[in-house]
Amino acid sequence: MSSKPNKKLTKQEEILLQDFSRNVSTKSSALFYGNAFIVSGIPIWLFWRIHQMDLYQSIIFFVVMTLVSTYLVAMAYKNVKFVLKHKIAIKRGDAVSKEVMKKVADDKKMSKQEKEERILWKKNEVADYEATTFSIFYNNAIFLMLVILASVYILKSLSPAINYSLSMGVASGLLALFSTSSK
Amino acid sequence: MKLIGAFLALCVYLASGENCQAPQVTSQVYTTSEVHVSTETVVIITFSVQCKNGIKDLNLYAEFDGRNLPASQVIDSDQYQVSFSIDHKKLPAGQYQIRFFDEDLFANLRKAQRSGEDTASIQGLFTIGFSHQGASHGPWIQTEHVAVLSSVLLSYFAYSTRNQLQS
Repeated sequence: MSSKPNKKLTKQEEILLQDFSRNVSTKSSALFYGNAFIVSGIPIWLFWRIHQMDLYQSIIFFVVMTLVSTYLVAMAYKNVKFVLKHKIAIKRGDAVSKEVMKKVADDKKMSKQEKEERILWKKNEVADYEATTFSIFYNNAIFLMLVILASVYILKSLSPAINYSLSMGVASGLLALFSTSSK
Repeated sequence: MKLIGAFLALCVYLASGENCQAPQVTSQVYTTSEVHVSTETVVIITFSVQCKNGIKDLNLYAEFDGRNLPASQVIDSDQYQVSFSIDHKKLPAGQYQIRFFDEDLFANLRKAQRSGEDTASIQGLFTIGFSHQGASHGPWIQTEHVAVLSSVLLSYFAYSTRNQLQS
């Protein structure tokens, strides 16, 4: 099995990568939900200190919208990661192959197939890591921008509680919606 | 004659006793610091006066920038307060003096004002100086605009990087 010179993955490599990415590890899931929870909690500070919402009186709003937003943002993380992983694997493939081959070139005990499997595994690991981190960065930036835009400009005239609920709902909803795009 | 002399001396004594002699003044001054919370600059001067001759319950008047203001006294104390508001632009940052008059001196001031004379030469009972730091208009760009701009720029960067990855 060898890669075609035009950098496209072979069918077998494609399938292997898809197999890997279907197994969303517990660690990955925990990372996504943890990050989503933190970023969903950030607007609480904005509304508490800037929009003067009372923390204890509005606790129900904060809890409900944070949980809803956590779920939607985590969904967006997963979707964007899945889409990007393939592209990153293709982009980084050559560089990863070179690096792995450099390390295992002198290893006589390893068969060619083993070497290629190791390359594939490394490609998957690199693509997984980069797609995960970039997905988190990308979605956080878009989410916070949407929350700030909605709360400062669009929903400014509403009461703080409604402003908070709608801006969180709209931001996380739009984020989840955009993430379902296959591009 | 002796009786008349004694009577006149008594009158002089009583007359001099009505005015505050060598007043000792302690004061606190508040001035508006932000334009956004007030339509005008407010100046509040709280002060206490101790007269050497023990006179209390004075009727005091303040004069500032041609305006005459009565000073209110806190009941059963030697504390007084004077407050006024003025347009922000008419009170820029700087050092200011406000003159205080008792009844007699205030009458002199009013007389001079009515006749159009220069009131700067009218002697006051005491003067309180205060420093006004100026009413701030806040930052040139409001912080929410800075936050929006930063988040939009960051999102644009993230979006263009994603496009590069997907190209």
